[in-house]
Amino acid sequence: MFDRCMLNKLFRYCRMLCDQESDAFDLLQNGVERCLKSPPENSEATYSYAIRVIRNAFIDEMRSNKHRETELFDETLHTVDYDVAGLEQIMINRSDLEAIWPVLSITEREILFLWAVEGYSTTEIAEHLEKSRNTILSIIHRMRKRLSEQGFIDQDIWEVA
Amino acid sequence: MTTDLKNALQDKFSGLELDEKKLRQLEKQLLASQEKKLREKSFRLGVPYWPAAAISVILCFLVLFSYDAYKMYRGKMLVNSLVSETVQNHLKLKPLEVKSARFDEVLDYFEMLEFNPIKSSYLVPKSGDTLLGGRYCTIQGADAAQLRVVSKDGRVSSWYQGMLPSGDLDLLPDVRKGQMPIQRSLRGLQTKLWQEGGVVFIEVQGMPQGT
Repeated sequence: MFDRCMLNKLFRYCRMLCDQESDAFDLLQNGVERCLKSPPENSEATYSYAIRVIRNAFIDEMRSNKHRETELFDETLHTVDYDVAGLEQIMINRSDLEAIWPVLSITEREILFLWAVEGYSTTEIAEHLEKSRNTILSIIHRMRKRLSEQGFIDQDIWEVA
Repeated sequence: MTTDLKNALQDKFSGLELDEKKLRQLEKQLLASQEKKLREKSFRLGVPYWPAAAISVILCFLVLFSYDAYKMYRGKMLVNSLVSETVQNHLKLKPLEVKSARFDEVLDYFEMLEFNPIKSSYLVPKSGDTLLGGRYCTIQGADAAQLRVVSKDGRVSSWYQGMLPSGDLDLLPDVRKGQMPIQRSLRGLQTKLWQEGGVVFIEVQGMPQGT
């Protein structure tokens, strides 16, 4: 179930959630242990199952620590008619991304990570995060607006070309 | 350097990998978990893991050994029974029902058997042997054929062929597979037993005349 390739893949997911590498490794160990105790029914869905387990473990950890970021897991629904394909055309510096990353919520990070690194569609992201597709698009829209208001990015950068 | 957001994110994460030490730590964790599951499974059976494995091997060996021993015992009992029956029958020298020196004619006589009597590839008349004829008899309670042959030196032999249950037949060597007949002596008479073509064959070799 967990060869080295899978472990590294899951580590990258954990690293996306956690700011510190040591926290990411602890989360990975915790997630792997949970998966071994309760393995997936479908062995071909190991990755999607494992990241769901890891995510739940991360949420449990955050809630038990009463971390303020848990507030950012609660989103209100806004139906927004945005095409996520617009993300494809956004240009950014690597250093700007490093500056933006720590201020993104966990959900925002997940959306960007699953879309860019794992090639998930918005439907697949919605399924993983157990939210509607419209909610995902709404989160993206509000993320762009907030970062612009906070001065991390120019609104122009996020405009669809 | 400016790039698209997707590439920037891929660059950020693609280089992240666990070092060898952490990978080994995780692999050790995986192995420990698997071993723990195995031990827990064995303990649920009420027996520790390695003794359970050892006991299973011993039990399998005993079962197989017992079965072979049982098979040998059964085979021995069958052979003894067949030899006793056919030697007793041979010694009675009951009158022949069909008299002919031709095998085909004698074998054709046996229409009432539940099998087709055949010519054995192993039991063939030697030079100077004369077929006297045949008669119905029984072997282990089933109808069988008895042929009587006399050799040049006056030795009268009986050639029996009959049916046995398949489980019993398998206890006898099969000459078509290159196996040699079982040989026994009883009351001074040599007997040979084998199976061939699904039929049991028994040859009881008589003593030369005058002995």
